[in-house]
Amino acid sequence: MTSPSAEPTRPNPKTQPHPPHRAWLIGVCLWPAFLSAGVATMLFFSGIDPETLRLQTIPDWEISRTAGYSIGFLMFWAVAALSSAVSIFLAHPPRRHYDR
Amino acid sequence: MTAESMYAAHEKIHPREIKGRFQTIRKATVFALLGVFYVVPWIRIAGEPAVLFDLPARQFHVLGLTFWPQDFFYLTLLLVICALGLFFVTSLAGRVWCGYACPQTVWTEVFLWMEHWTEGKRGKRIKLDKGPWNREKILRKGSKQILWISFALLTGFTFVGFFTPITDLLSRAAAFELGPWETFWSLFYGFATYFNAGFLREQVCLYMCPYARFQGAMFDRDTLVISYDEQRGEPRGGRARGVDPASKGLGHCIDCNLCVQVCPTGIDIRDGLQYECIACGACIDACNSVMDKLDYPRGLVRYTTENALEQKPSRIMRPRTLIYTVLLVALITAGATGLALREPVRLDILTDRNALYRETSAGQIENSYTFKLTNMSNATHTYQFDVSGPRGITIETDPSAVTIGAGETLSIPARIQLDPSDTTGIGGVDVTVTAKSMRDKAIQHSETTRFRTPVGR
Repeated sequence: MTSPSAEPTRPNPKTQPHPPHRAWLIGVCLWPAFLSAGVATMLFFSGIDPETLRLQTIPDWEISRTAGYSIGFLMFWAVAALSSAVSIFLAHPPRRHYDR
Repeated sequence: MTAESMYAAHEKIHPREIKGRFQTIRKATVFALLGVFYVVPWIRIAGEPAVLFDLPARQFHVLGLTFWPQDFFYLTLLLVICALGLFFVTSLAGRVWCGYACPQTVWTEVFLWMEHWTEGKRGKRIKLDKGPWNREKILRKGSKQILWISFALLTGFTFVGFFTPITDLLSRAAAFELGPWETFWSLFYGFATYFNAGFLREQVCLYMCPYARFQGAMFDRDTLVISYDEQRGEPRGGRARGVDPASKGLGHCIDCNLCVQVCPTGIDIRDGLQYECIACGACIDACNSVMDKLDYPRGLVRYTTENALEQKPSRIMRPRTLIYTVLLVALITAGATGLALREPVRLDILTDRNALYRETSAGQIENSYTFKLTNMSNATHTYQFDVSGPRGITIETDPSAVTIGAGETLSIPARIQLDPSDTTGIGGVDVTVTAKSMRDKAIQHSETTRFRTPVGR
């Protein structure tokens, strides 16, 4: 971006509202996914009893409802986080445009 | 990554502690809200937890009411009411939610208190952070971590206590017999508290909170905001005590920077309204304390509206607030009515799939069913069944009266009989089955099902 001779400038955070810091990107990926997973879990399990689901799919796997809810939530979170991650990846312009 | 060099590293904000009217209110709300959070799981009414979200049993117990997955509607309604309530309060009084009630700011406040107890006041904390890792720094930072981690663990444990009876949870935790998922969620919530309130703090509000981004849309010129009175304050500048500012051509702001030092999000309120402002009122208290010392009138920084700052009248009732009020009242009324009229018993009728009908030895047409009766009330009830339909229809259940405990479901085999002469001969007729509590006649529920008869008789 800047040539090495250029003076290191400390940008004003107010003019840089979206610092693309790695930790920040991880937050942007995981946090909305967490919220969405929460909503999805509530909607899904209010209609479907994990116990019924288990009996109809893998009856031999004896897990509690709590485990069912938890696994469901973590799965929703993982899927939503994957979607977030792809969005972040695609939102970055292709490198060659600015990294000459 | 080149973009990283663009980013100014985050500097930790060390808010100066301040006393004053708004900080007293804030402290009171922190105690009230966290008090509710930590105490509620322990409260029992008639031997049952007052609030228990019993996910394993798929029942929510709230102050004597039991909610089932079928009642999901009420949860949705509650969330809609909460959202509208937030919009309503925002349009009236700005971000009071952020400053006083949001879990993020409330827990951050407590974590800041602990930082203050262990590391000292603002100046001392800044010095400690810059200084070398000597004995004192290790001791002070170490004791802060111990406080933080213990408090976070207690928080995580209490959170799980909303889903599992907490006394039971405590006895199992003491014996190291917590289930894997209870352990996981305790630690997860504890870690989230520790990380959000200890480290991320104002960054959650700045970068993660959707409400902080869109609250501006609910603001208008009559919304209560924290504002610096520029006309009165400017031009700002230092002066000796007792000097008339007008003689030096100065306003009332002595540029002491105290309002910036106390700000938990590190902004300067004198720059105008900013989305970083969580409306905690720390700058008001700081400025008032300075105004008092200088014998200037209070309120150079104050809660006011844009209209009031321009000496125009402010209105509380305006189309925006009226619409929110009407919607809120309507939804709350609808929800309360629904709750009051909710039937505490539920009947599901399953028809026997093996035989459409059979003829009894007495020559009657008989259909078999399985009734699934759920007692959704909080007391044991004994129920009997009635059937209505064509004249002469009768019902038999086995046993004839069933006793079901609170929150339990029972399957009851049932037979409905009708004399063939009464059947209309088109293959079936609708009949209505009613389950009635013998103790409380008001508790009853009817369900309609099909009674199948031979075709062409």
